Amino acid sequence: MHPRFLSPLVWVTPVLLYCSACSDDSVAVGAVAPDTVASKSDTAIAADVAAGPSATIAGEPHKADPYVEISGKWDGASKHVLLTVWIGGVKDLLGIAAHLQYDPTALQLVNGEVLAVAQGSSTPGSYKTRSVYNAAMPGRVLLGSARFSANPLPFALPTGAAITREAWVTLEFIPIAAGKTAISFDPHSTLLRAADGTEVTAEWHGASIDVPAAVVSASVGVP
Amino acid sequence: MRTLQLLMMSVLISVWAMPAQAGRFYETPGLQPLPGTEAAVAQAHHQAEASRPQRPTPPAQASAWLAANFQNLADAPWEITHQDITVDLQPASSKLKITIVVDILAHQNTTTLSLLMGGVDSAAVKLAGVAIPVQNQAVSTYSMLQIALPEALTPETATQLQLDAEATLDCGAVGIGLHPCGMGAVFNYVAFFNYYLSNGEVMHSPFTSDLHVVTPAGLIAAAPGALMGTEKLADGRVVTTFHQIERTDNAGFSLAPYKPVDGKLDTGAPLRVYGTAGYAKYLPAMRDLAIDVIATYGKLFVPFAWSSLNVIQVENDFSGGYSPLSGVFMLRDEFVGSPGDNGWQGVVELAAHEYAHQWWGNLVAPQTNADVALSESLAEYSSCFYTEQKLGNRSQVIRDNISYMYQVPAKSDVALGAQGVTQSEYYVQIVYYKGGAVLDMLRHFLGDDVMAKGLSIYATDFGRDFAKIDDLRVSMEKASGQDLAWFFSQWFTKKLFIHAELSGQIVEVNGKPVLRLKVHQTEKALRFVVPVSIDYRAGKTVVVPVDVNAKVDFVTELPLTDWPVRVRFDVQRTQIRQFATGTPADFNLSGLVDGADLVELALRHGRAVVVTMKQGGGEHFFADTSWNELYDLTADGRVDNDDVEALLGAVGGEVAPF
Ligand SMILES: [Zn+2]
Repeated sequence: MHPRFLSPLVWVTPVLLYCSACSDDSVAVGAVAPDTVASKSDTAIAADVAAGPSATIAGEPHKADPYVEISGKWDGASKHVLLTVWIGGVKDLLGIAAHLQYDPTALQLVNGEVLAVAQGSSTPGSYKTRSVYNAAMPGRVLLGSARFSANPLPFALPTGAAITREAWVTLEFIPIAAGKTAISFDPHSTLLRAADGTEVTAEWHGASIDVPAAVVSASVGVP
Repeated sequence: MRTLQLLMMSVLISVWAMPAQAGRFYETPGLQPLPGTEAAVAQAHHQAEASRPQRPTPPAQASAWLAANFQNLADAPWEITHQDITVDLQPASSKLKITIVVDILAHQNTTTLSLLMGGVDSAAVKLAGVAIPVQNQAVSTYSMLQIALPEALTPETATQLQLDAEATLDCGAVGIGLHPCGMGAVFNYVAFFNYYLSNGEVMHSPFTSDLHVVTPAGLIAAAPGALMGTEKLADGRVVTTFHQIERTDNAGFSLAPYKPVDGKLDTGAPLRVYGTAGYAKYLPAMRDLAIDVIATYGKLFVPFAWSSLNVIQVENDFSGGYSPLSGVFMLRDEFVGSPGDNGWQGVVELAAHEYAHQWWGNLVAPQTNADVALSESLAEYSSCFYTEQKLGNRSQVIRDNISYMYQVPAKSDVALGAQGVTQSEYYVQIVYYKGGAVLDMLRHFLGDDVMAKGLSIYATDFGRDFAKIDDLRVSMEKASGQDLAWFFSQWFTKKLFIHAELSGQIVEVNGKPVLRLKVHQTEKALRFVVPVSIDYRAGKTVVVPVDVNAKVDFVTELPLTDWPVRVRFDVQRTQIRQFATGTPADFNLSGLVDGADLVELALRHGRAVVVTMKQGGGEHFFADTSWNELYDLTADGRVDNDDVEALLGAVGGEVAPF
């Protein structure tokens, strides 16, 4: 295995500490959507949340643009944790990439998808988003999206997309252990580039998930 | 004009998806440059320049004598002390009448003279007004004249011969490239025709010459050398005289309604730019460019050696140049441009190449055809250096670098210093392009100052003399104090360039990140020093030169100050190389193929060195100076969608342990 990934959880601790101290703020700013604050898309499952025990997901909110952050909700029907990775405040995007880290002894990844990021593209249709989604490594999901010209020509620069706020990745987990667990981005892996190739500094925020024992026992597919 | 062409071409070309090839390196089938592009223009220029007749190899005896008496002129059996040449051009018939009064000084008893000049139809020789026998034997495009003397020349006593000759010039029509001569509506010129008398024996003669150009009324004659004045003939024409105080066997002249612009070189030598009225607005910029290029080279090498410089506009509607001693002929469109214009870069590239020949080719002449790199490669190197310094970009040298790599099929490649290099189908690509890039590589290895010092030593030690490639090595070793045999052997005596697969990984050693790199050479194992750029966050980059030894597998470790965003090899393309990823698609050399590699690929997507004409099809070489073959996973000369597919198939791949 690549030496860089020998201890994937080594980076989780500080994020976790930070998040436990700030999770309330996320409600206040409304930038992330933990299950207790239903966003538009969360409305449909709000009833399920009230119906029984649920995991609590608290995303660490961003403070400034550009940012990447996570919101989440509990799906009472499937008893899965549903996460959305958001990207926002990015001008002239070429591509974005990161490794998302989770504790494979606490969460089992069952589904995931990288969505096209094209919002605000100055030439819609002439560029196509191609994405990387790879969950082969335990506790680590390789994510990436980049925009490619539909008709490559020498000297064709990738005209950028300006993104105010857009869902980038969706992930679905089964909680397999009770307790608090963290979702984070490996800080060595995060990358955001503008169309001219410059590296863009962004805030990358993780989330914490509190899994009650009742939810675990009700889950399916526990190894 | 060129920008417009480029824009038009971009509409006409499409990049077609090609089936993935087996190897990781592009195997060139020998493509021609895309018409209308800078690469095509540059190639037309260089091919025109290269089409000048090659001097036939002197008889073995003369060569042996040259080798034995390199700096000992007194041992020559005889030498020429002065040539007084009158040229009378009849454009209607392309006939050139030549009269040469040659002063000969014998050092030994000499009964025959063997002299070389441009091919002539007829030749007659007189000694003290009396005709003597002369044999005119065709050798290539030259005439070998065997003059039988009635009695042996008396040693150390000057003898004067008069040669009257007539040549029918094979002048090309007005078109692309510089012809040996051109008879147009505005310009009548003779460029490559050697009307000087020459030979192995006289190559070292420190003779002077006067060129008298018979000039029709209303026209101005232009030629290398100091303008001495004019004299009126009875028929109304004038004779314009140019004096050359240095030995030369190359010259040319032109007749046109010139409106010359004058200047002064940094050495104080007069500069005259001969252009016609239609180009008047560009001539001051051409003059200023000449002054700056000559001054720049003068500081880098040795000061401009000649007592004057004449820059002469001739006809044909594309680019090209020719640079005999103290004169530069360039085609008329090379006079179109002003600093800041789109076409200016091309003007500077050509002019700077031709001006460099005042040093490389004239001040120091290549001893044999195998040493032609000392003329053309050095001139191209100098021009590339000038454009990099003054125009602030490396596009010329990068274009040269990739033009060699992607235009010369491996089976047709010839070593830069090979005996037959001038006969190669890919002479221009090898000697101009590869040669320029090889010397650029040497500069990056030695540093700018040492490189300049070495060229200065070379120009000093071999000034007004002949040199071999090995003499350049010795000069560079003197300047650097380093053994450079490996470099000269690798790049001048062998036909090859770098093919290497790059692997990287970041490991933690005592809590600190360390970059491990592996360079695996798949063709020949070469030594090269490659700048490795380590890009940290917030735009901070550290460049580390890595000396890759001549082993098939090279491994090194570089300490890091932080985890890097990416690691890149040879960002400025200082090496003649094709790189590929050792961990396929791990572009950032992190050791893992992931989303960051996809983003790196997106940045290079659309770049191509192989393009297909939409109309008529056919693949062409396109000199994309942003090209980086690392991202061309399918090795088809294009970074396109099949490379994206290849990357997506490789995601999650990890570096093999090394
Ligand atoms: Zn040249």
